[in-house]
Amino acid sequence: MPLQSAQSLLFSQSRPEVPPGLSGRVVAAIEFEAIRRLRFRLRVASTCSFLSIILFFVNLTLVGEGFLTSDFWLLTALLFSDLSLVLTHLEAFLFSLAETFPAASASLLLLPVFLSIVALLFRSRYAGADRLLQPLQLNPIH
Amino acid sequence: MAKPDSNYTEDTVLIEAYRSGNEAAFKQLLDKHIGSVYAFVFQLLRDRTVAEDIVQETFIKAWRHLDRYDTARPFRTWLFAIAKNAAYDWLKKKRSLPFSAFVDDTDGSVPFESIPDLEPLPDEFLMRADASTELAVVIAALPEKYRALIALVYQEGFSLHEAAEILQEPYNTVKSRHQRSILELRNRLKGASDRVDGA
Repeated sequence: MPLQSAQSLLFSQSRPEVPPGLSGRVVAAIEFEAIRRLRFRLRVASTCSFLSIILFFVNLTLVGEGFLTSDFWLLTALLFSDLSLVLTHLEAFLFSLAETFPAASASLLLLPVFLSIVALLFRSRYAGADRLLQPLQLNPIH
Repeated sequence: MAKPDSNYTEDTVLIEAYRSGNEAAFKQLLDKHIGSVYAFVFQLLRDRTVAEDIVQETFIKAWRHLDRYDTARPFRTWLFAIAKNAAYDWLKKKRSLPFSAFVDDTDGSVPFESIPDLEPLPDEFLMRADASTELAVVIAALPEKYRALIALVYQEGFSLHEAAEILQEPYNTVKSRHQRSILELRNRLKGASDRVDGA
């Protein structure tokens, strides 16, 4: 018996039939997974948006308090009380202003801004993702 | 790596279409490959219900990672590698076997390299009218690693290089396993023929 016969016998082994509906079940499972992932991502985006708003107001209060109790604010007040003195020693005044600027508390304001950017990125990335919430289109492409 | 053929090109076009937002393209990929993936998984697990679950898992994983899939590689090989991993994971969980049980005990060098490829099955068996049915029964009784390889090479038409890629093992290991599986098949068929003759 030549090799061809032996191989053709191995090749001719019948394939099991694909159970009816298996393809549909796979599509349904993928749709379910797609919706689950999309909802999760949108939930993350919403949470980020919400947290950024809360944080913004909290930080605004903290930063506001920090400003009002800082030397920076006292120096700034000089602008209104004794402008001529400020103009005379303008360079020294600007240096002092820069030195006393409460940078740490001001940077706190960046956190909600960062969160807002993350949320916006999520939103924009999945802006067209509502198509995933629709059932997969079964029309073949051409 | 396999040379690009029409099948490969068609898969690539469908993947690109899916990545461009055409959901229908994935359904076409699914319809195109579900039969062969199911046949392979069933050959490996011999359980229809579990095979269905593994096929489902395979396509979900493929869908999940399709964005990162490298189209320079044949999609079918990649898909079968996912199916093989899912099936082996299931077998490992089911039997609580150490991973080494699924790995060959040799590096694929000697002595199986010397087994000739000619006449892989016994002549007397090939002459029999019920050879095909008998062969299916004997293949079903082979160890998983042999069954997987026979399914990939003879049922799905993968080359040994592609089979090695799917099984994520060195080519030489797969090559010698292929020879061993044919040898094992031959011995079992010979045993079966002897029993029939003796009866």
